Amino acid sequence: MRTTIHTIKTIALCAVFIPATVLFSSANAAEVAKVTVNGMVCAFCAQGIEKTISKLPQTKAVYVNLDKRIVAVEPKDGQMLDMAKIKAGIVDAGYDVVKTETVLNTTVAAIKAELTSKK
Amino acid sequence: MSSLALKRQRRNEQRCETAEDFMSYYQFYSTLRLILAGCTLLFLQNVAMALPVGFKDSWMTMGEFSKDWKESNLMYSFSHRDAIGIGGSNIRWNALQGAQRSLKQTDVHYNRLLARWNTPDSQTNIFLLGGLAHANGNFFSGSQLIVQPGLQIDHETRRIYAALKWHGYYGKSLAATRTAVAGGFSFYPTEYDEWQPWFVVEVDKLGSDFKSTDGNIEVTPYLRFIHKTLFVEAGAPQKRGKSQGLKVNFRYTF
Repeated sequence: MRTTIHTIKTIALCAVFIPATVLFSSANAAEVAKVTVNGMVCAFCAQGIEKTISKLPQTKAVYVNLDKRIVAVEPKDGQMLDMAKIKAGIVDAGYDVVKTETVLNTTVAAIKAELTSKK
Repeated sequence: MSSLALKRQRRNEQRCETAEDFMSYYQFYSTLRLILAGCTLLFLQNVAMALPVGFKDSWMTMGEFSKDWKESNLMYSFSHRDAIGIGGSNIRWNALQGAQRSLKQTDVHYNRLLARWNTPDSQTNIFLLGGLAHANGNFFSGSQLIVQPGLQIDHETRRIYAALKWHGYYGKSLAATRTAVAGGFSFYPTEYDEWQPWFVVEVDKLGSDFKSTDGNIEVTPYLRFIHKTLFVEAGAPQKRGKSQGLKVNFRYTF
């Protein structure tokens, strides 16, 4: 009897914990696009990048770091970013893309924290 | 001469006994100057600009306000290379002919980014500017068409700004030019979402029919502040050492 109750408890805990973990990870971590850009020397001009990429329907957050020449883009929950459109947005703003990468299970906030702590 | 000065002179004479000594001292100070200049450039190498073409699908308002020159424009960039706009200006000057002249222009512009070089730490641009104005003035009757060609070359890093601008104003009763050289530095590097202060000096030269009895060269030291969508600078222009009041330029992108 005690073993049966213990098994039920374990199953119930798993039933709550596993979906919660999945939900938590999808809400707080995603595939973030990290783009290295040439020519970003001034906030007045680089704001074109932020505005252009923010208009993309998949974009949740954009972070621009002038010091490291990085633009990081986070998708909305459950959506995938289109790197070609991000590159086109940066070129439309007047800059050159030199490197693109996708960082798994992170957020724009985490990339911001990482880049600003390296200052 | 004091005993201290005599001692110093004697020491210097001993130091520079031969031409070789002199040359080595000269070379040392020349090298020191070069190193100092290099350090200054390195310090400043890490701008600020307000370009006549924005990013694709952006609107920009621009204004210049000083005692004798007031100008405002609204520009729309349909690509990062092309912008069109409308504007107006109100200019007055004490002409060499002896009377104060005034000119009011309402204009349309087309600005084109001819070339851009993006590097990791800098951006260099060449812009071609063009305008057509409907003008009224107190030195001609009726209204006239003024053609306004222009050229702008600029180079900027996060700490240095340099620009050369030329504008022409050509009509039946007017042939005038305005050439400006500007350069400056940022007090410190800032991040994207921070206010960035700059010190910029601009030298404006008014030519041909814009020549004035007050002087043709205006020197303006500016304090410039940039924060993402806003660019504003305030300066104290001078002509022949005389203050010309306050000069304010701004740009706002939306």
